[in-house]
Amino acid sequence: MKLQISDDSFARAMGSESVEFAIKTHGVDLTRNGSLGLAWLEPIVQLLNGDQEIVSEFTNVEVKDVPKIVNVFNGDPASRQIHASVTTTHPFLTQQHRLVFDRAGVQPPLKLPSFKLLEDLLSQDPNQIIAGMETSGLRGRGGAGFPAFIKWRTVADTPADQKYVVCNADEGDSGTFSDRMLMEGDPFKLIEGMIIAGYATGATQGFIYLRSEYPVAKEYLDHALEIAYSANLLGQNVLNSDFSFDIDMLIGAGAYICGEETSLLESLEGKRGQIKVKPPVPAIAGLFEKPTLVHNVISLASVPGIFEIGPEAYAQLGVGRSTGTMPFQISGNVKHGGLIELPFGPTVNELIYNYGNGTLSGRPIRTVQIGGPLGAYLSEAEFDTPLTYEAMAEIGAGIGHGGLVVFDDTVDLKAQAEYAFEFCEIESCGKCTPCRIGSVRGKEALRQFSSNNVDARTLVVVEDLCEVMEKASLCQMGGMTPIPVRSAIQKFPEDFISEQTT
Amino acid sequence: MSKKVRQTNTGSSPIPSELHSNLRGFVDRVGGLMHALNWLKGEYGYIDSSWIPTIAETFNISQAEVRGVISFYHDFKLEPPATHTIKICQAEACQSLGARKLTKDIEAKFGTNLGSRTSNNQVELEAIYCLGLCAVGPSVQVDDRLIARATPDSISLSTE
Ligand SMILES: Cc1cc2nc3c(=O)[nH]c(=O)nc-3n(C[C@H](O)[C@H](O)[C@H](O)COP(=O)(O)O)c2cc1C
Ligand code: SF4
Ligand code: FES
Repeated sequence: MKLQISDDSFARAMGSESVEFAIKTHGVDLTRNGSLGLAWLEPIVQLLNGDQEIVSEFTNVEVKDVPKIVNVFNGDPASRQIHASVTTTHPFLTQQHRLVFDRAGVQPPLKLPSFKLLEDLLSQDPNQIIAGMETSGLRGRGGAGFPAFIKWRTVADTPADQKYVVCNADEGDSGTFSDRMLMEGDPFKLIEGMIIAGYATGATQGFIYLRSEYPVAKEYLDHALEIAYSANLLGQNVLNSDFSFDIDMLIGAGAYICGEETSLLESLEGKRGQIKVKPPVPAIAGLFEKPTLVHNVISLASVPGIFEIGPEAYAQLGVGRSTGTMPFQISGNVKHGGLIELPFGPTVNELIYNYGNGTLSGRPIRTVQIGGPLGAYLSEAEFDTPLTYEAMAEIGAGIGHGGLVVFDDTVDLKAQAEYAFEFCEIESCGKCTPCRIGSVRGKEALRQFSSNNVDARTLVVVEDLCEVMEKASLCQMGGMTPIPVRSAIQKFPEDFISEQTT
Repeated sequence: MSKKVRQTNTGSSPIPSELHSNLRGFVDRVGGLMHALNWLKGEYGYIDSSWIPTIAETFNISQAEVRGVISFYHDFKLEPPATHTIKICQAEACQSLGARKLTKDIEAKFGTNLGSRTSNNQVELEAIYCLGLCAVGPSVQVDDRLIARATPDSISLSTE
């Protein structure tokens, strides 16, 4: 028998460290495991038998529960049955289709998994791997949804003395935490994905650009990289193959814009994270002007699963050109918030009601913002839209990095629109005027009116600003800020102009 | 995996030769200047203006370039931090769980505003945009401690 406690940022923020400390003061040792992504149940303590099966489980554990847990640990088997596992039978988890997150929260994060698949791939023709990526239909999970294989092929086909794989772990969108959970819960999955990407494209150096707001992920990655080097997973002749690959990590410094790939690469070179004009795209001239494959954490961590089940089987998952699984993240005012990995295609309704179980406040859901701070606010009528790239585009929204933020009926959409401008003002890199000035003007225009009483002419000004920002911004920071603003105004006009003033 | 103790060295500003030898190791690393500034931030909690000439010299770039990099990133500050920093998430998922009101309550509790510090330099309130805890917000970070489902009462400066 042994005790194990979940350990990731969710668990720690919910108090796992004090619980762990209290259990240890009883003279009972326990190990740490990753999180399953049932965030509202954290911290979770499990009692495992010799076969690593969960015998008992305690959720939302507080320090005052520790004597009870210790009694069950030391006590008779009957007491164990009273505290049967909740997580393994919970529909939130059992209905999921976990391919990227298959090991997270199940196996200890720093336990080296089997690398049979990797060994096998390292003996294949790189072109065959890229062909597999094409068959899989994988599209970038960082936000833009661009077909991954095109970038792989471009990097592979561009002659250069040095090529790079860069993992974008800047995860700045509010309502998203899948990158963090993967890095904390199964860092070897990411490392494996990066090695495969390096081998297929001919890149020998990898970088992880990690946001500074994720110290726990840094802890786990530091350890995982060290272990990977000592296991010959990284360095010279990976797993005794002819291929050598290194990974270094750089921590960001609190700039949302550094999630944009050209800004990220500037920052990785140790400079200001200013946006660069594309073309050239990073796949042709990226880091130090060399061909660079920039991918989001989840894109890279999807790669092992693709070859595990086979690219054809992967392409069968999902709907149309939205292939494979997506780790959706549901957050905000929701009872059951957390990570839900499913093939593309569930509706917003399914996620917020079947999985999320409605609002935490108990009030009706009024809107869901999807795809981060540059994403649209949806009206209730849109909640039956399936989560595919295509269906979302049809309603002027995007899946982005897969985050759904739930708001109840106390939300003030005017305040949200104002915030969208404000966030753009704070995070703008300052390179172009529409974004730098437009965001400030937009915020001021909305702010001068108290809630529910915006002058109709102001909305014309705001719409003008949106048009300029959308059309004339150099990057999507300024270019997409109009999306949350316009969706708020168009779908919730009552929050801007009260009936008396219209 | 122990908690990092902050600001181990505040008060004892390094002399240029010491600084130079500490930073030299970062020069040949990709992103060296970012590594170096992050290291200084971790070590001293901030980057003193008086260090900039040495940093510039070590990396063989202009002082203006160093300043340019420092000013671009929210994390790099030219002022020493207060004894405690409370970062309150201001982003959407936390807003939906009352982050705006929570911010006001924390401001009242500690007697200072977001973006400011108390006159005795004990507490500084800072805005942060997402800690990745959005499913269990509103989220707050007190020094190195993450706090989910934060309430004014759950925010305290003691560690345990
Ligand atoms: C303002 C802005 C912020 C972005 N932030 C991120 C981010 O935090 N993480 C990410 O993976 N991609 C982010 N992106 C998208 C990247 O530019 C890029 O498309 C992505 O890293 C490519 O990887 P993928 O093909 O795997 O999605 C951002 C884009 C913009 C315009
Ligand atoms: S749109 Fe904003 S963030 Fe993008 S380049 Fe212009 S100023 Fe920079
Ligand atoms: S929005 Fe506050 S933690 Fe993510």
